[in-house]
Amino acid sequence: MTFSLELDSLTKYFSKDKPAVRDLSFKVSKGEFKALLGVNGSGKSTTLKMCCNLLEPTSGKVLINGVDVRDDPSEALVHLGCVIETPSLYKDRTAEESLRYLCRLKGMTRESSTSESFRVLERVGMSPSFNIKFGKMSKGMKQRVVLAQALIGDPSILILDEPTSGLDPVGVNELESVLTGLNAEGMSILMSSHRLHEVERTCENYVFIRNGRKVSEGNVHEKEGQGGIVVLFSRPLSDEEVVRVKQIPGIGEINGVSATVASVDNESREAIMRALVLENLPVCGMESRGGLEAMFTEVGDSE
Amino acid sequence: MVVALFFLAYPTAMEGMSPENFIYPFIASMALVISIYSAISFSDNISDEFEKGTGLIMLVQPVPRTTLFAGKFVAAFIPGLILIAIYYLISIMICSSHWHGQFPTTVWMSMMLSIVYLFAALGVCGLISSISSNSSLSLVVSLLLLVVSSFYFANVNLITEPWYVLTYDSKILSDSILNVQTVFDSSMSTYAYHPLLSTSVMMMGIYGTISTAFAMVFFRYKEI
Repeated sequence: MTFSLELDSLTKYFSKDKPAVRDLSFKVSKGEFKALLGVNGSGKSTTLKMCCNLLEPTSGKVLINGVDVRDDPSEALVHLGCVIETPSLYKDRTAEESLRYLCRLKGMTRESSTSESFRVLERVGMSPSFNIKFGKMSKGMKQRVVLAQALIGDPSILILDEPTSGLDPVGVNELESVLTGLNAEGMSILMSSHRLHEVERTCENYVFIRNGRKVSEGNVHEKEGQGGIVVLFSRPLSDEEVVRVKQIPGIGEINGVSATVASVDNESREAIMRALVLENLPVCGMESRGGLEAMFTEVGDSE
Repeated sequence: MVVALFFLAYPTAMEGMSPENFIYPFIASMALVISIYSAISFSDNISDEFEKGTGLIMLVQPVPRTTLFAGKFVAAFIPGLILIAIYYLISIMICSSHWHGQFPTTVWMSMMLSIVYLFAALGVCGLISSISSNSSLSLVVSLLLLVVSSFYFANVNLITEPWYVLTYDSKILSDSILNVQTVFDSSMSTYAYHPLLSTSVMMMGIYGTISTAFAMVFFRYKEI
């Protein structure tokens, strides 16, 4: 099987004593939509930067379509499109001007640069005649243009570092539909994100890293429902209320404004809700917690 | 232009002047013009990429970083050449209009030296820009090194000739018009120094080559 992206024992030290990324290995196969998950400072951006040749690994290697990104960056990067952190284009140029310039850097002719910049702008839902300079665009427009530049040359793999950060819900939905469309057309995508619902909606597989190390890898949808059920309270409970809640059968741990429910069958849940209401506790709902969210919480608690 | 207007307003001021003496004040500011141009056009060119996020797009393109650097250097060098050409052309035109088509042939030598100085000044600015990740800082340092230092070395008393200072060597751009080269003796101790042509050309070449090479290496291995 061929892979779009392979990370092999990737390690990066910024200082001698604490590695940012440690012995990290995973693969993104062709057409796969994979999420790179981890809490802040876990090494996600460092990993993605090494994949894009923006940082040099201390050891290990990154292969894009089988080509080592350090040994032959020109050959490896031609297959890659990426949006890392908050990139910017030249502020005094329009989107189309900047994209044509980037097309020329990718070796396209003047004529094909124009048609390619039109194509990628349309792909992200922007009009090619859009004539505002990059510096004057809204955050959502900038994000689209930045994504458009990543699509130049129809790369086989797309690397995105929290692409929806700062976008409003409409922008998030639009971006998600563009990404799922690209993935459906066969493009491999590796995306880091903090928005777990977004990951659950769009991604197929995930890699979870902590302190630069891989702690878990698998299918996003296999995690669904594994996070259990939680009861939500409208305010933090007093000590006396905590004692009363703990006396209700089926209630597990109480954590701030929520409490886990040990049993998941409908009858037990109804009984718990009735008991909470009868006890006159500030209960405002009950929800099923996703597996990814549970994983995040566990890692956060253990740190 | 101010000097040209002065001579037009007071033609008698030209009496007794040779074409060399006439054109000298025009060319005297050439080094300063090149220094300011280099600092403004190139000192923040590379650091900007790292500071403002454009590098996150530019540096992931399938183009070697050395090629990107070379492209930036050439993009600053060519307008610099045009600036020099225009500057000398205007000077020659003003001079020849007053001297019935005559102008000193040493002006061509001065022009060649200006191109060498442009190479050196851009190299130094490129190096500063490659090292720094802050465009304002690299602009200030470049202006200090190329502009402020030129005033300093033009006015300060020195015991020995500062042949190793680029802005001192740049005096040859105007000195070559009058063919002034000081033969040093131990009694000299002030701004009366004039650089030797051979020393200046060599130093400007060394500054240009070494700083450009180092700038390219820093840019090649810089992490973002």
